[in-house]
Amino acid sequence: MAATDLVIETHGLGKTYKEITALKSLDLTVSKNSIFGFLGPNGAGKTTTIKLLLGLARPTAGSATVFGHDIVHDNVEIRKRVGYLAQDPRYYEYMTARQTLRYTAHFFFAGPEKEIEARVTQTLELVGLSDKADRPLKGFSGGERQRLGIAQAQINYPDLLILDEPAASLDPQGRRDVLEVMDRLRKHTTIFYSTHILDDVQRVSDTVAILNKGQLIAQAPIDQLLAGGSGSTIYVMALKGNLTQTQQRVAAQPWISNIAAKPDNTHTHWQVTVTDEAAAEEQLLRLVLSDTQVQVLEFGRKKYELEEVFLGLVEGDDGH
Amino acid sequence: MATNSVLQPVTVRGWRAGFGNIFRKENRDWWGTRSWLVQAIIWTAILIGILATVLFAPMEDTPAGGKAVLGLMVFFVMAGIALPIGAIIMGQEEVLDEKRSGTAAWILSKPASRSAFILAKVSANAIGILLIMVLLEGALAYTLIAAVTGRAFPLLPYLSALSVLYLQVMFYFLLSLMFSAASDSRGAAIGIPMAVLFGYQFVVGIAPWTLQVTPWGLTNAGSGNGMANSVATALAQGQAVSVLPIIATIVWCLLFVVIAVWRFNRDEF
Repeated sequence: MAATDLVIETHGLGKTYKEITALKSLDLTVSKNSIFGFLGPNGAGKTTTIKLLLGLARPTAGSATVFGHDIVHDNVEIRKRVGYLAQDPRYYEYMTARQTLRYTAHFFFAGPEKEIEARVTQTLELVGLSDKADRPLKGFSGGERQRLGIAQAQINYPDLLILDEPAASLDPQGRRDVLEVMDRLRKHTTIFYSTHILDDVQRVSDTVAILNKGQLIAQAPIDQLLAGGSGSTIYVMALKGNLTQTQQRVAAQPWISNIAAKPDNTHTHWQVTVTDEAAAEEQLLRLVLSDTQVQVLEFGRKKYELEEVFLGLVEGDDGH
Repeated sequence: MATNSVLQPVTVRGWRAGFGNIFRKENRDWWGTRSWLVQAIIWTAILIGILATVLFAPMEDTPAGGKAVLGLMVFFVMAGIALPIGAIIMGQEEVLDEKRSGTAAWILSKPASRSAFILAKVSANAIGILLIMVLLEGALAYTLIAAVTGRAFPLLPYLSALSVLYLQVMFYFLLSLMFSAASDSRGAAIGIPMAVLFGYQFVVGIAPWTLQVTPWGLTNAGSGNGMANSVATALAQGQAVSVLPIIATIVWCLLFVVIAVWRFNRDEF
């Protein structure tokens, strides 16, 4: 991948607070125009990584660049092109939503005032806060604050949107709204967001990184991760009949590495792990069907849910 | 992203990034709300109230000139204590409250430098303190003394005395702001400047030379520091004064700003 296609690049990035290691040697690449889901359990180091990228905290090891700018020495230039929504965003309670957005906009734009006002109004409409635009924030609900958070994060037309748990405190409708906004913005910007809501990641992300105990344990396109991604593929079958001879014949094939059989009331479930996907697609079903005493009720490639992949990786990493 | 070519991007770089915007916001906090009016009423009630009590008290054997000097001394002594207390409270709120509430982290996630954050707050508050706490109260005190005693002090010396009072107030404001930038302890940000403000009698008793390198003699006079007149009172009457405490206080103020900026730049959010 060309360096210009990379928005974020970290090399051995680490952060230690006194004796606590929050992040261990993170090597991460985020490419342009991706929706990058940054997953991990609480305390995995997601927020620490985000704060390091924005220059809100200093790394104790390694280095990182955003748009080619160093995160330690050139972070103001980074923030000119970034929109950021914190996990628990705080604003001046006495300000109205309009004043908050106007104040935010002036960090990026020098004028003309009329255009800045137009941008503020447009952003308020985008997040559905037009009718509450002139009320002080102290009366805002959690969902309204989150919508304001998204508004202030994208008022500058950012090239990179960093969202820290954007949907964590929202009800299902609020979550859906946030995901829709992210989906709309993906055409124009790169989105890097942390979350532990795996359904959301599966719906909108194209690339995923999983962090556990400050360490990166996986980074891959989501399709690859959901397909298994470890070099072996699993096929699932639901079979009926006497399977003893069939299982022996199938297991003898050189491209089969394992058959896990699980009997049910009326039939048996097989999970067949193969090392050669092409051979399996061509021969596996034929091999089973060649035994006339066996009926195939279901056949297909195993589809993982992200939760399954996530828990497998995290628990594996924990030594379970 | 879908950019708008009509909007002109901010081109300021380095430590000045975000200064203008934060400075305007801080100024709005002073002048765009009732804050200035509340401040003006509070300080007028305290300082001019006490001054009026002294000036209107019957002093039959005191000449008008003596009453004017007494009024002058009372004003500078009281302003030299009350205004720093207010400045200390303001100074600790400026950074510590923003760190604790999370608004500092929000601002610093925008293209704003940490130096700009501190310097904008210092600049905007320096203007507010000058206009409302020092010049307005100084003008009211001057008018009241002149009206009651019939003696008007020469304007230029009086303004230089107010400059010294301003320096003293800024010393405590910046000391408190420095501690609020350097620590997360409200106790340190209020307690240490208060100890400096009220502990002078004890220290000066042991080491009188400290009067020359601190703001303690700028507005306080009498048995506490062994001076007949404070620097401010002497200046207002056109008397010669030692410039050493003035220079020392300016140096302290600059040092506090430098430390606040340096420490805030090392902070993590």
